[in-house]
Amino acid sequence: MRNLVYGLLLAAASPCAMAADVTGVAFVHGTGNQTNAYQDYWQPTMVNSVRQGLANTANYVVINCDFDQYMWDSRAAGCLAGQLSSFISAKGITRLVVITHSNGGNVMRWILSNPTYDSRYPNIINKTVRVNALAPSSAGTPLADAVINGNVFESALGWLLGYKSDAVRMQQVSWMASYNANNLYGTSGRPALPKPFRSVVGSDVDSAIWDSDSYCGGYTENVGLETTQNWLNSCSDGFLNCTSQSAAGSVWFTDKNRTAGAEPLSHNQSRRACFTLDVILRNDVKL
Amino acid sequence: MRTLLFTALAAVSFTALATQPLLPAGGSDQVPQRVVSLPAPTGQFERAPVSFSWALDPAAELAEPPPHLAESREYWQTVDGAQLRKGVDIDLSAPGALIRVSPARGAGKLTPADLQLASNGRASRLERTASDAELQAAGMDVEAGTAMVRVGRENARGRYQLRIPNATGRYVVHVFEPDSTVVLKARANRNHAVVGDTVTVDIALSDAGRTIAGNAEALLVTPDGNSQPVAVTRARDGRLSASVRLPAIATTTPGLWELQVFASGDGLQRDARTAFAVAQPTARFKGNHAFNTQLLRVALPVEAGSPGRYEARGTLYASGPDRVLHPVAQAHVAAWFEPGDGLLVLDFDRGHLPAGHGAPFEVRQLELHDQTRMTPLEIRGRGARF
Repeated sequence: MRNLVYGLLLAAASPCAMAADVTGVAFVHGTGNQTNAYQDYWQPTMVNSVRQGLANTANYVVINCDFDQYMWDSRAAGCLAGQLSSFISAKGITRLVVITHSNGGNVMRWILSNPTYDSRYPNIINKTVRVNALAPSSAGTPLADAVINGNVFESALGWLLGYKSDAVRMQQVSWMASYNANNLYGTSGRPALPKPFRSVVGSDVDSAIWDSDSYCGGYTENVGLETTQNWLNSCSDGFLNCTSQSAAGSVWFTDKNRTAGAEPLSHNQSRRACFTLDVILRNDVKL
Repeated sequence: MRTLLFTALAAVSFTALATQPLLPAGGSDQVPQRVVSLPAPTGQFERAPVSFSWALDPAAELAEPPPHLAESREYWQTVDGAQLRKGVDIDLSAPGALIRVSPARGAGKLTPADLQLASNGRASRLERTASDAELQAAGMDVEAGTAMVRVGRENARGRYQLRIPNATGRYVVHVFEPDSTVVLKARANRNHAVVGDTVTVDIALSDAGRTIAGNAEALLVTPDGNSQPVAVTRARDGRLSASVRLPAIATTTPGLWELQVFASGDGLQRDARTAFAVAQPTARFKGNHAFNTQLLRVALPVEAGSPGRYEARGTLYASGPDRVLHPVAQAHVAAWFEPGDGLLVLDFDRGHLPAGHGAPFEVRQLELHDQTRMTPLEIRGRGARF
């Protein structure tokens, strides 16, 4: 009986057109368990600059979820779906622009790629007009491999160095290759995502102590990224190879082609109001 | 009763009352030969049926991605503090190596100044890199008390001794040579498998493209961290490979399985890992389908051995004006099933059909996924033609 009802439901008409458009923007953070991403992850300057591009500047949401989990986890994509659904419903959003950073791009791509996993996903996908994925870790990072390796070859003793988060495990290069092949769309040879997924690619790191550009977003973070670049190709933002950032969807732009002074965006700077990135995003949400 | 319902459903929605067999499975397809009974995993899972489809660009060229080729210029070694106090041999092949020493739980924390490197009794210059706090701030999830240094570029290829006088407890020494020409490559022969299948990893250790006659070991690691050694064999042409028949371990830990490779040659070590999804056959397509060409719906009977949420997905190919099949739409459908027979209906939207495209159609990359256990169960490159 269930199957019959289900079959008849499938025969029903699709949703009809909506009224006048209401545009909203969502900020989706990267790896980590955020409780105040507005202050801690994006910082107010970035969020408040971007939302000035909205007709109603109150139509924004800063997501706070636990992205230390696998992307499909109820605390990750489930939490994201809940907060996006509430935002869409509360504000009457009909056009949603999603801005993700780093692993947030994977969580959003999970929703776009797996619309049947959760009954809230289809409405989110239908309302989404595009994802602006800032430095997405679409093909993982060798840095995840570096910290995970060494943990497992003495499994008889348990996890030698303490268990890394599922999000770090997931972002190993070989793991993301498998998830891209089996579970996610938008990479080479795979079906396209149902909505545009456009990446902003960070291509280098400046950390010279005499260069004021090195201080945007935090000097300490940029010093670390200069070291982590050793694991990466000549084109990288210190955390991700450019190839990983551009592996899914389409490349919107590579940092130096659009930023003020043709400055590169390190992985830390691509979530901050550095080198007019905020202005570029602000102008985009007007479209 | 279930058969009757399926027939009734077909009468409502499908003009082709007779079900047809799915297209014969191809060589790289994954088709479970049985189903198993497992309890439903704990966790929050959707129970409502959901269906979704979207248009694809008919000019897109779709193909199953080849398995990932892992390339390594690094290795990891577990050592005791006593060994480090005495000195641990490290063989380097290129200037500019990075050495990272991470304390295990309870081991003494280190700073870069604690690390000493020597060759033939002479101290080698080490350069400071980022601190543990700076690496953590950059997003590299190193342990607190991790020390990392770069070996001065004037130091030549050869054997060195790493000494840490204040080491206490256990550590992992990680040596990474970004500029080395010595590379270990490993590639599994598949992205996905069902327990009982055999996975083979090809292994190649080379120096500037020249094969090194080295040795290798392999380890199969399940998502919950259990491992078993896997024999590495050398073919007559010298190629190394590791093959393993996947044991029927019903791990409930989500994640991928790995075949890790540890190789050595010319006195140098390299580690690499491959990852792939492994499924317990909790459900499978029953091998037939019914279709409605007008509504572009494809009904797929499913046999579920275990309770869970199962999803069918497929890519609709339509014949274009050039009489060649092009991808035009993607459809997914999922529902919760108890053990027994069920039905999933892929509902492609005729509105997604580009002008000039029509029958004959094919559903390619027809897949059945277990959404509760996060595994691809059945994958058919060509599923149905109508």
